[in-house]
Amino acid sequence: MARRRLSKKLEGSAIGIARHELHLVSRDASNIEGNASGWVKPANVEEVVTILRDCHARRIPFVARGAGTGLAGGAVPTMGSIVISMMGMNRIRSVDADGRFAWVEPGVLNADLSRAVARHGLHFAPDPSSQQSCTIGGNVANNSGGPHCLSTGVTSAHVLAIEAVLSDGSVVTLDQESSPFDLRGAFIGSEGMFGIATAIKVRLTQNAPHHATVVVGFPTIDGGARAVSAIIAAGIVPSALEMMDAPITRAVESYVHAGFPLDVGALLIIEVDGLPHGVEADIDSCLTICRQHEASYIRRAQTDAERAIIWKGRKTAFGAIARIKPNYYLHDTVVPRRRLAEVLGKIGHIAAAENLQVMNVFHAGDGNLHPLLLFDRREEGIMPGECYPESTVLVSRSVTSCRSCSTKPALPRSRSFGEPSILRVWRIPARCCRLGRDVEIRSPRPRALGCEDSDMTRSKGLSSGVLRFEPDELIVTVRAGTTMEELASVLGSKRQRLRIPAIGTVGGALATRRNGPFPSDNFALPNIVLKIHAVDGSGNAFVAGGGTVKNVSGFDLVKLLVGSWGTLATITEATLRTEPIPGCSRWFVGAGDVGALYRPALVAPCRNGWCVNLEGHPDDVAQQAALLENYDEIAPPAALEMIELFSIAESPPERLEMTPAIFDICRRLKSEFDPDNTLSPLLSARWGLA
Amino acid sequence: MIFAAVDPDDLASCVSCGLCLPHCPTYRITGNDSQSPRGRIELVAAVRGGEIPLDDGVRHSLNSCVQCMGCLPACPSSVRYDRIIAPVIDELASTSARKVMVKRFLFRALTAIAALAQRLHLMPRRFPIPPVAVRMRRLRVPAASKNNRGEVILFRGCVMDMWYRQVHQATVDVLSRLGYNVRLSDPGMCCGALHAHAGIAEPASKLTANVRKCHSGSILIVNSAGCGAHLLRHAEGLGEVVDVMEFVSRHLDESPLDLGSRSDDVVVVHDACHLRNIQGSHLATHRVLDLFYEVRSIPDDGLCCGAGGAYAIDHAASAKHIVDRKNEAIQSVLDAQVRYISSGNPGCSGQLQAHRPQTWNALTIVHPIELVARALGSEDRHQSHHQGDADRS
Ligand SMILES: Cc1cc2nc3c(=O)[nH]c(=O)nc-3n(C[C@H](O)[C@H](O)[C@H](O)COP(=O)(O)OP(=O)(O)OC[C@H]3O[C@@H](n4cnc5c(N)ncnc54)[C@H](O)[C@@H]3O)c2cc1C
Ligand code: SF4
Ligand code: SF4
Repeated sequence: MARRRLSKKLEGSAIGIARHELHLVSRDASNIEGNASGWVKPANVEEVVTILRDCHARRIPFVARGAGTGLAGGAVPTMGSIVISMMGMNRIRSVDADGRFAWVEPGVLNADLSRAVARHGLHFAPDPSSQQSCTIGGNVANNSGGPHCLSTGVTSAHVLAIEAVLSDGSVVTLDQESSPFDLRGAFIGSEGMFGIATAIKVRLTQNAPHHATVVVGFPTIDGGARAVSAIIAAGIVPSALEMMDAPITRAVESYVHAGFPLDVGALLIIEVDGLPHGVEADIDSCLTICRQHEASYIRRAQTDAERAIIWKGRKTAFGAIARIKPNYYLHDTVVPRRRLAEVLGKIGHIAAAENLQVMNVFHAGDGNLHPLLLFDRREEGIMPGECYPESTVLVSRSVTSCRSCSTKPALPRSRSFGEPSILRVWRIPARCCRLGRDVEIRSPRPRALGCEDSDMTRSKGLSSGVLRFEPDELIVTVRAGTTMEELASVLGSKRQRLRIPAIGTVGGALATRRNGPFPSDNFALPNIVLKIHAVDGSGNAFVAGGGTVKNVSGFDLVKLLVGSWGTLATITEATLRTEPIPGCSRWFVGAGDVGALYRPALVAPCRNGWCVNLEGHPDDVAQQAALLENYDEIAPPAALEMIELFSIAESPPERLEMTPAIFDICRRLKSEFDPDNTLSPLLSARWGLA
Repeated sequence: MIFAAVDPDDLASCVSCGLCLPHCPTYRITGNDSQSPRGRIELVAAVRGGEIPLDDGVRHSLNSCVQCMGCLPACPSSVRYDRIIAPVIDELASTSARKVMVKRFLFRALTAIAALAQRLHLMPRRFPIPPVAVRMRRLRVPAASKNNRGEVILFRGCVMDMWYRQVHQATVDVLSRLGYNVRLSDPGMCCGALHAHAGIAEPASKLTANVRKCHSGSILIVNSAGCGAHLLRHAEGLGEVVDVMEFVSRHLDESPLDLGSRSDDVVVVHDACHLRNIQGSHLATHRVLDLFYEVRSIPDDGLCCGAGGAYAIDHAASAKHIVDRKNEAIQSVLDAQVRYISSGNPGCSGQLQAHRPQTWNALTIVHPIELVARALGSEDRHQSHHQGDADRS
């Protein structure tokens, strides 16, 4: 009945109820099956609004669907939901090649976007292995990353704004300016539970002028894992570090014929890109380290075609599994890099004991493991339920041996492995759409703490000190009251840094999202914040995020807290991703065009025009500097002084023009976190949230 | 059991990863799962397993497959979609008698009536069949010589022979220049590819058997990618079936030919699905043309143009939609230097020709072997029938 009324309203895109269509939209690339009661393919925002309004009024659950390549069943409709296919909205609305961004609709395929902007020398950096098939909408909902997010970061570092329709049909634009909280950041990774994205403003990245892609073979997976840790520990962050074990290498090789060696225990793909001198120096160091770790095979791609086929091999690995067994169950989990070898060993051990066939292909640089359990769904007793518990045992047993990890739930009902705090799914923001999804939302188990000083602007009152600096992991955990200067000097002792101005305290920098003049990329706030300890307005202490180098799916509380000016919670401790200090850094001031530079570390307005910072290998920096016409080199302190005068706005936004829908979300967030308005009451009042 | 002829192991080997989706032309134009390889495989499996009935929706999904096999090389699990869809199409066709009648008629029309209708200007302009030359030339074949490197047989086929005789001439010229004695297959001998594509199994296999009988043991040179793919699939008994460009690519190095100077002309190469996805030999065309011309690929991962046997006639609306997308991709690499679009399959050439935008007047759609013949300065410069729009009105 409801369905019929819906279809009447939507002349252009009536609800489809054909049996065979429903059968197909009820499944995706996971092993989970749903039961759609209808499906619809809106062509524009207005149609999405109509559909959601109707669903809202009739309380019909709905699920957005991109290409259906998700491995966690995100697009699978349960409880007779209506499936809203976003494939009808697949236009690239506009490209700004100079500003290096584009507005795209959610149904645009990831690889198509990069192809479309290739003539401007640009690409969309997140490159999940499914990139040829998956949509930007799906990438946003899953906060997807790929092999190259080691250096460029996951989707959230590349999405500037989102136009979305909320479950009641209201249309909002989420960016870092339109609300006091980073709702954009909270939307990314929310797996369709926040609303339906109808347009996305993506950041486009310059194509690297030079690449080195090398395939390295190791006798054991252990040796490979150690080499990976050693490379990062040496201060090199390649653009990709991917590993495949022997069985999966064999499966892939028989498909792509990339010439992968079949007699090795593990294969490591190392890619370094950027300017030529730096690339060559870094790849040389990587290979030296590999040799020290008994690499038995080294081959560098000589042509673009060779490079392409190596990546094709890596990226089709999941699919190639069927050469061994027709079904697989995938785990997606992040462990500290230095414990890679240990965890892999344990996984192999448990799998052998449970008589399970397991294969490994993973983002080694991030410590992001994907143990794949192979099975044949036609075998007696395998489905349902029997394989899952065993596999759950597998990963929970192996990863809880690690101190911290974050897990992308790979089952429809999210299961947490290990401590509850590793799940980043917390409170539901104001409006939770997808009424029908039976995702279990875990709220933190708050431990009441006396909260002495809840005003973020006075966070200096909080205890200070660097708690744990793990230079080999590029991670530092620090108390919020620590000064940025102190932190910088601790990091500097190991030639590492944060690209945040050395002003004030860590808590203050986070609460005010103080990036200063530095570009808001993967190395800026909020993207470098991995985990936060905080205390909410009722005095409940909680933890958000995970202490590993990569966190992806789930409602991203960290993003909400960073930049909220202490109005939601008081940050007490933070785990941050650090960065090795490059070999050479030079500063220039002038007024000419800087468009020809390749990813300069900084370009900031100053009173003389532009202040430019070039970093990297000395020879590359010299070459880049030669491109700067009418620029003078200056000393770093003078440069910093010049820019700071111009760009560090220290005061919170005065009055915000919030749309009613956004205002509503923010108010609900505020009352959820701080019902009595004890945190930054003045600011909250100024924003109308109190 | 419905679809009993499909091997259940073939169905089970699909892990539903979706990596084939963007390579499917029907999925590209609709974005619907029911129009995708993954969806079609699941539908066959579900119908076969009795989960869902074989209703009109399922029939439409399966019948609207272009059978371009774009999904075949795209699949990392090596799902044999070809083995899945062929018996399905046969079964669907045999349970719909009227369709078979219509198709039989269509094929007869294709080979004879259409030619006449065209000459009488009765054929709609957008019909994906090129105009027939008013004066059909006899093929001139140089006399065989003992000093030559061996004998090859040029498979003339039906459509090629009727509509693309100039391609045959160019093939004969180039092969002779490479030092081979060329013999022609019997005129009118059809391989049965179109029939097989449409699910009319019986005449298809008869025709194929005939080719096998006449040419067992020989090297059969085919310049229609569609025929080549079909013959290759049924190659047992035939000596070797090889696409002309693949053959030239293999033997060019050994020949004492003077390749002459490079032309300034730019060629956009359309990879026929039958070369790319089934024979896997599309790169030969790029390699060979690259010796003489600047070659550009079409930046759409070799997506099908919608020609697919009789698809362009059977499913005209989808085919049009698909070719429009192809044209857009071609357009993105066009500039003033581009003079030719090359295609190694008559079906594709016809499809591109019928739907070419008005703005492409300066472009000629040719078979790559014609370009080679031209570059080698073969004395006989046969004009292509596709000289701009001039002779189409
Ligand atoms: C072979 C293979 C390799 C993969 N490799 C990776 C990898 O390296 N890294 C990685 O992160 N993932 C990977 N994945 C998982 C998956 O492809 C990605 O997460 C991808 O981003 C999903 O995109 P999609 O368009 O298929 O989304 P779908 O699967 O259709 O949907 C995924 C989720 O997004 C939601 N959604 C879709 N569109 C919208 C929208 N417009 N608004 C709001 N919500 C929406 C859905 O409701 C669902 O919850 C891989 C999958 C496969 C099969
Ligand atoms: S056919 Fe192949 S590529 Fe397509 S979904 Fe199945 S396994 Fe994946
Ligand atoms: S053969 Fe072509 S049209 Fe048919 S499913 Fe495969 S890619 Fe799609």
